[in-house]
Amino acid sequence: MASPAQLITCPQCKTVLGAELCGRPDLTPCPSCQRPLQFLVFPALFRTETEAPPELVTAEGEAGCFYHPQKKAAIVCGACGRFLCALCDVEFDGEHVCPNCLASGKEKGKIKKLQNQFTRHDRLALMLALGPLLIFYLTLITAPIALIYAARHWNSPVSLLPRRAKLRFSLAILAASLQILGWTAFFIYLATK
Amino acid sequence: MTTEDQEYVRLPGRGQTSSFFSRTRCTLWLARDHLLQVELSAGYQESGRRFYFRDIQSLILVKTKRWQIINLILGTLTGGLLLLTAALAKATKGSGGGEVALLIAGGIFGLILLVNLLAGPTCMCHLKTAVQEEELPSLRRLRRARKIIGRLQPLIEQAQGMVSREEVAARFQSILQQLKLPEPVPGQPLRYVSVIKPYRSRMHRILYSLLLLDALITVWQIFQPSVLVILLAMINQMALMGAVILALVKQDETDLKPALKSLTWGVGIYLLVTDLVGYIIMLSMVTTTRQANNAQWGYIQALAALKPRETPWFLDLLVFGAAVSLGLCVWGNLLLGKHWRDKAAVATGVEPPPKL
Repeated sequence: MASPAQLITCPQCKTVLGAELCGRPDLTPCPSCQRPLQFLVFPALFRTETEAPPELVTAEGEAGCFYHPQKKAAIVCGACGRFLCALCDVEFDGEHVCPNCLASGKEKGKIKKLQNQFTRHDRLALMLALGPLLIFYLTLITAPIALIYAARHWNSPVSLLPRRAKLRFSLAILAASLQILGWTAFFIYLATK
Repeated sequence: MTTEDQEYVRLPGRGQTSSFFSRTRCTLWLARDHLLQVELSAGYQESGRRFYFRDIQSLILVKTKRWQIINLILGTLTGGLLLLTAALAKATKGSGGGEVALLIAGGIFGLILLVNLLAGPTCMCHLKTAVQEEELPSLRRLRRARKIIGRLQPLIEQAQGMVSREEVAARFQSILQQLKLPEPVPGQPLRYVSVIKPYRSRMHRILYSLLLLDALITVWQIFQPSVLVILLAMINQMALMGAVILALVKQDETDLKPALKSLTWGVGIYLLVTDLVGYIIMLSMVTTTRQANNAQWGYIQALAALKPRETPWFLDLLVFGAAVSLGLCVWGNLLLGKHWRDKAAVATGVEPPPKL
């Protein structure tokens, strides 16, 4: 069954674009707003997935789903070993897991592919070490905080991507240490004067 | 660093999305089976969106006018500042230091203009899956976006297979039939989700009337300069600014002719330029008369004391301003009249007379 989501529309004026504009090598004006545009369509646009409903348990002694006992078990969860019906079976990254394991895996950060938010501790440490230099006397408080923060998050995951986090942490530690040294020297000078 | 991390390849381009409170920097990364959009907000919060090749339904690229608008603004600023530098250098015979500052400012704008020119036209790129249609902010330059789409296309086709143009045409027709929508034909665009509203506002009429008033006040200033005229001109300028902003809001996503929409932008740019010129004149007058206190009032008085018919450069400026205001007013009214006539013709079913 076709759905309106399968229509390709001009992002500017929402006019439905015809097939004659598809896959052209050059930009063609939109029939309505005349903005030059180009679009490509892939088979996923026409894919309609219809999953078979899970079978009901018919015979005595037949294994049922852990979550829906009246539904016939089709597969075993790769993480917790519970029996799952077709409805509860989630195929993720080549493995079959139940929704609960998937949710707890995401929460605990065990499934890396599901993690999509990170705090960039390395940037934060560097900001904390260098930012207050504009109002120098603030560094008396921020330098130790930056130093502790960088040391505390040295091994924390900081990004979805390979980053040079250690370099930023090192720079933050260096800057914070220099500031602390400066303040120490200043206080020693005041004390001995 | 895991092996999975190492498989990401950074795609060229960097874009920003900004709201009133925050700015998010976006980059695009290519992996074996998906595209990852990394968004960095507030400088330290990172989030990502994965678009798997097997799920991408369509990639849409639309050329935008941002490149031309930026070029126009930067070109005007550069040209204006360079002209002003030349005028100032001629007036002070190279003894003042102001022209150096103006030249540096002009040079900076010129450099930004050059960078923008070299980066090429702008665009927006949308990626569509079954459940979302997202803009990719890092692909906002046409040349780069086409290059990256050329790189992505074989990867997506490898994951999904290919579909011929004939097949696409047949499938599109079938979708339209199932949704009971007519096939789109050239000249009769089909909108499933109608976001285009009929234009009903009077704001453009008010804007053009204010432009006419501006031209009349300027003519009045040429013949009878006084504090009252200057104050009237200033009030009208502020009203014009407000009217332009309101007209831009009112014309957005309406069926108003593109020429009229562009004209409103043109009026906005013209007003910005006149404001800039006025500001520069004010600064130079306040500096020369050395009125540090009540600078605005001192400027108004100094401007009222300036006799346009005895000051050639001021007369030229006023005549030019009056002519542009009048021209914009006439042009806008003509276009607006045509717009209403065409709408009335469509409503009554009577075709407008052919162009001679």
